[in-house]
Amino acid sequence: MPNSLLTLSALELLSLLKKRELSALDVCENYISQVEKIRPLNAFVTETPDVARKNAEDADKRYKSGSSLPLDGLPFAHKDLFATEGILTTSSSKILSNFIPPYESTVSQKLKDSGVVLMGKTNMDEFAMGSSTITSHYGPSLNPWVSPSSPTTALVPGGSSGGSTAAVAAFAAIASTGTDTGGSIRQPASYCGLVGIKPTYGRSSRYGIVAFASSLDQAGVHARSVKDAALFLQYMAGHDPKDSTSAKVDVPSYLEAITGDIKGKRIGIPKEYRPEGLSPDISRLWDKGIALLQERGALIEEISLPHTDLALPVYYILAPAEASSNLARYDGVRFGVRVEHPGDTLNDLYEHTRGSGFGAEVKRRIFLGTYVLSSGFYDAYFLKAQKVRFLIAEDFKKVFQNGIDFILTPTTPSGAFSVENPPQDPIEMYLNDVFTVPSSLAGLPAISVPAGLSEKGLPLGLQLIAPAFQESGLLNIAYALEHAVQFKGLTPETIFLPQA
Amino acid sequence: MSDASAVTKETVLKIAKLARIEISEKDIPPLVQEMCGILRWIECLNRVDTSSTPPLSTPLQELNISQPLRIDTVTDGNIVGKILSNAPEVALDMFVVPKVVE
Repeated sequence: MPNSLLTLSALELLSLLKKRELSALDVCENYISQVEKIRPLNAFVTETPDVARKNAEDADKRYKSGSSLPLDGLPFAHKDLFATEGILTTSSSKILSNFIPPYESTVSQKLKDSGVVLMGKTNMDEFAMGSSTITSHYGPSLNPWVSPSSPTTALVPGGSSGGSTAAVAAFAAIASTGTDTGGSIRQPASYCGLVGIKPTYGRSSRYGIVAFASSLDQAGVHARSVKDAALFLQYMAGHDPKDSTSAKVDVPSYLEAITGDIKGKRIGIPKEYRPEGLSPDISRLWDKGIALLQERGALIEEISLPHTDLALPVYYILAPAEASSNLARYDGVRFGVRVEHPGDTLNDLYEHTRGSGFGAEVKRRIFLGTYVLSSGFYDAYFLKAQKVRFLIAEDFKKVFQNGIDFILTPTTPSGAFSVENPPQDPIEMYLNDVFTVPSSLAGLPAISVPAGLSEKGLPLGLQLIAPAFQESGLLNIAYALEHAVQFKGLTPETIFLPQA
Repeated sequence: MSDASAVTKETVLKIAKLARIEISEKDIPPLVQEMCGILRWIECLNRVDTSSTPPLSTPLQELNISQPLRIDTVTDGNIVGKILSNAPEVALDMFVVPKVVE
């Protein structure tokens, strides 16, 4: 019984809760047990069982009185960079390891107001800088998937939202928030066999989200199906007066848009995403995705996005530059950890606090960002990168103006890698985001859909990209692809748990 | 664009000062090496002619989304306790830092 309850989709759960065949508290208790069971995966920084029970009891009261909320009783988890009032919010950094926000992020507030049950806050790469969760102050999360050929080798869940995807793939939450700056929702979704959608830049509020690179950061959702992702995105999206970069664009009904009909839709296949040396696994899966969409009536066309190979270098100038500015606020004065012996001067206090509070990857990016913004280099690096960013955005604009409806690409250049032997060279690690960064730079909505398994038996995703604010159409074609692929995810019985 | 190999120990120390991050002697050589590597990697941007290209500082620019300013009114207040609740050191409802004025 408990396990079958965990495998229900959010929509199925809602229907049973509405009919009062299940109580939100029962669902919650099952999920709390699962959160405890999967502790070896280190998916959560903070578990919130007491909050969850209170949320569930409130939901049950509302179901009883006939005044239920749209997401009432659904067990949910937040990436640990959404400020949650009264609940530890660390961004998986030592420097924020004692931070209890006195306010709530807009996205988590909206989900709370819609009735979700908070299971906890999930682990991530420190300040969302990474593709593995290895840079977390709390140690890496583990992927609930392992390769059948190497069943004891623990793998990364991807990142930066890796705790969020590990939790959902391991049935400890039905869905979770993530944030995506250069691929941090889509890449871990791909590694964990989940759906992950990054909406258009400006679609949801960034208020109360620990900032990494403000011109790129965007909140989104991970779920085990496209329809569940659509359901949660509905209640996250929308304009927020507290975030001047959130757009005043109406939010349509995402679920209503999902029909699975994609006849006549023109799908662009960018030739630059098939570089020499692309893994045969990825190539095969991409071809399969193309064929499946074609069978359902979509029209496939080769397209060109000529500045694709410049996206990563642009990203690794702009994101660190913005980060170096955003992370200046962690100074040991107003909040966060201050070193025990701050020294004699204010500068000593800053330098010691920041030197001890940030991890190696965060420091590397702050250094890089400070360098490219420093006197004499600003034009050569920062301004140059912003100009090339324009060209990258124009590439997409032209393709969509020419009538292409969606773009189909792989999500990642490979599947999940070993926690013990990750790429050592920073650039090799950065290449993980090669297919996700260009659409991030252009601010476009994109979704990763599980599309099959690699030769090693690990999940791989395909990415669909849409014009700005076309999340409805994007979810519809993602649903068509999901339906065609018939991907088999994990079950509660097949989750990898390392032996203690 | 400058020569990436120009990043030296002195550059890293200067950046550390600007970024207010204390750095230990042993962390300097790997940082020099990594920064050189990354800067060399991003030098490929040089081959693109951007003489007539405008910079894109936010995607909203391309998406034609305006960013209206809110009316400048007070939306909260009297939350000194909340604001100070996470401070490492507080006295007289103020943040405490080492002495900055002689």
